[in-house]
Amino acid sequence: MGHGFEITVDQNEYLPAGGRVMDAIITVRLTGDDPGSTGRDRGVARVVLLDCSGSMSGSRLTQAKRAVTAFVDALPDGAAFAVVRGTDVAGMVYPVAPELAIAGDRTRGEAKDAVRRLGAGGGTAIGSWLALAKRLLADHSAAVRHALLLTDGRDEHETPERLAEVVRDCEGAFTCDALGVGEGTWQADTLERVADGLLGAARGLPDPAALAAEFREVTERLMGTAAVDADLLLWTPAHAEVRFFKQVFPRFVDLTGRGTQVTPRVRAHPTGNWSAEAREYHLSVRVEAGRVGDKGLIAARVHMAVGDERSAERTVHVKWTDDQQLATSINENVAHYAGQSRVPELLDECLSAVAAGDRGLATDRLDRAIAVADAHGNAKAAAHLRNLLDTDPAGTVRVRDGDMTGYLAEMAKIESKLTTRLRDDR
Amino acid sequence: MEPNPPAADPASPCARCGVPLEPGWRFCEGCGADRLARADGAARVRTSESADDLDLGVVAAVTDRGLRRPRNEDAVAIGVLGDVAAAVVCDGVASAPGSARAATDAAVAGLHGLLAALDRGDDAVAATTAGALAAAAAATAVSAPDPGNPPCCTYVSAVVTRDATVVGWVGDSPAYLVDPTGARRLTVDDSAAGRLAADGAEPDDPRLADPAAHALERWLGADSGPVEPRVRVDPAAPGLLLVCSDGLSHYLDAGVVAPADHRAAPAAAARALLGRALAAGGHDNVTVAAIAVAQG
Repeated sequence: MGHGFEITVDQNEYLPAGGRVMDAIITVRLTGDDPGSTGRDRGVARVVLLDCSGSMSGSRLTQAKRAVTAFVDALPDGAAFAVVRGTDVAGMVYPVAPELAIAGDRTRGEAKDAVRRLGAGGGTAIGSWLALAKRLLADHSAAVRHALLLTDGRDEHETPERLAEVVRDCEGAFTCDALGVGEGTWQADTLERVADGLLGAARGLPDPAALAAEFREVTERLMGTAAVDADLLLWTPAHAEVRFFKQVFPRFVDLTGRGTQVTPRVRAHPTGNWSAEAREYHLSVRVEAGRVGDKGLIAARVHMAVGDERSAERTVHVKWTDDQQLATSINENVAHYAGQSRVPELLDECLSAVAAGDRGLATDRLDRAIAVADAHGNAKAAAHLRNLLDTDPAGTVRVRDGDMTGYLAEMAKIESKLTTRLRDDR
Repeated sequence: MEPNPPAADPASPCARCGVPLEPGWRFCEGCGADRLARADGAARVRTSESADDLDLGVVAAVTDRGLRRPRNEDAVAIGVLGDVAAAVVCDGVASAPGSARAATDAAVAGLHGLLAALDRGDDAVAATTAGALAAAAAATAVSAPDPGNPPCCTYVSAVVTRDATVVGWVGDSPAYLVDPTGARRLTVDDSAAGRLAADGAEPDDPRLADPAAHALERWLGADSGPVEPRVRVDPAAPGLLLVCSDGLSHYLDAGVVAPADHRAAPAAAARALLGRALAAGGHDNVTVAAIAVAQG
């Protein structure tokens, strides 16, 4: 095998006498000779879920159609694909029957004709789009089954519970990237629910003209897929409790309690598809107290699995010491992500204060969020947070009025969860 | 996460929490206690900084200036951690001033890095890489008397666990396994000559006589660029694992000196090999470390 997963654990393994909480950053890397090679023929099946609700009419739909047309043009011969129109219901754009077409000169031409004729009108119920995507992709033999969801508006014709239910139902059937497009009413929470559940990315694109480039990027990433349906397996002892387990790079995703219990001690967390990349996870475990000087414990064991292939296992250790300096020093990587996790929290507090009409408190929280983002080298998040600030005629800088934030706040929510690494070693 | 890696001990309740342990499993499923874990400070380490003749029983080493060189620029460090033994040999490059320091720092840092990785539970392969990277950092940090020609050295490490031998190397300091059939080279030198020999060239092959064929292609030092060790794993079979500098391997590869007795104690084997290298001419510094493999 030309590639493999490599796991490293970064932690301060020492606790003070009586200490019980152990934190560790787990880095998982897909490495190998050429893990990004496009030469690996794994088979890719792709569905585009295109929002065609009334609010898309005009330049948004024009740009979206242009991006989908370019996507169809770029499909390699033999690739399985479909285009779906989403409103308060989902319908096939191409092919007509609810199945995947096989890319070739004829089907590409027909698909582009069908896309050209698309018009906008109707509401938005994203769950119905995903349900159709599942019908198209679930039983397909391609190793990589992917949907790209594009929406500009609020998911208002179904309940959040219904959407959550559909997402759960789709888990494992396909992966899905969710794009919010334009300066409309799309919601970061909705995109994240889809992307987190279906192991994809959530992105906001206020300028619809950026869509074509985004489609290309998604295609390149899919073509570079080097591992499919990888699971992260996490073993913890019976007397220990996982306080939380979350992905912290490239994006905060809380995985606590997610995944499936495969044995009483082991939980499998699906991680989807990997190209040559690194992801980092923060594990926090509460263990039984131990004695200073005894041999210490294993708080967790971690490995990656793809089918029958398993990576080497790494362990999270706990030892107790009466050396105060050793026991109280915080691992720098743990501190790095614990610090950054405050950015989305502070933004939430800011937006709640805006909603409650307390602009003073909101401004304070936003200022702090910007400072924390800057301190962790996250210039992009800081810039999106600064977009929420406004200078009034008297020269006072304050957070924008609630009515004024709109998509800017949604962008900031998404970007504040994208993290920087302490050491960008790959 | 089955299989929980097996431990040697028979089934028994966990010494820490009393939960019955599955027969042969290493980690307690109740509290996470590691039956193979070693208490802090259990590692024993000896290095050539303090003596030329080092003996920890299952692993031993000697280093000597030889008969022709003005000083000894080799270094060796050996250690024992629980039932694992390890050794590191570094050969300073004589033409680069300061290389004796680079060899010593690299050997000491390499062995400590390797043992620390084993202690935190890494497998022997990961620990071998960790040791070499620590050695590379140490060699790079040595101050250079001649900035245009920074200190540099070779690196070879050996780890012997209950069921495997793992060697890792950068450069042309080799490892051998000595068993009833004789001495078998485990490493391929990072030079044109090393590749020729690995492809089966006889010791008297004229291509090996060209000094340029012996030019090092990989080494540790400030001018080495990023270095990853080559690593080789073999199942543990009874015998002696040797790592040495070319002051010995030159004679061993040429068949000029006899390999060690595979049943000898490591210290006796190391001393015997040093004696033979000196008797054969001692043209270079001679360093050899020996580790007992699968010997009860």
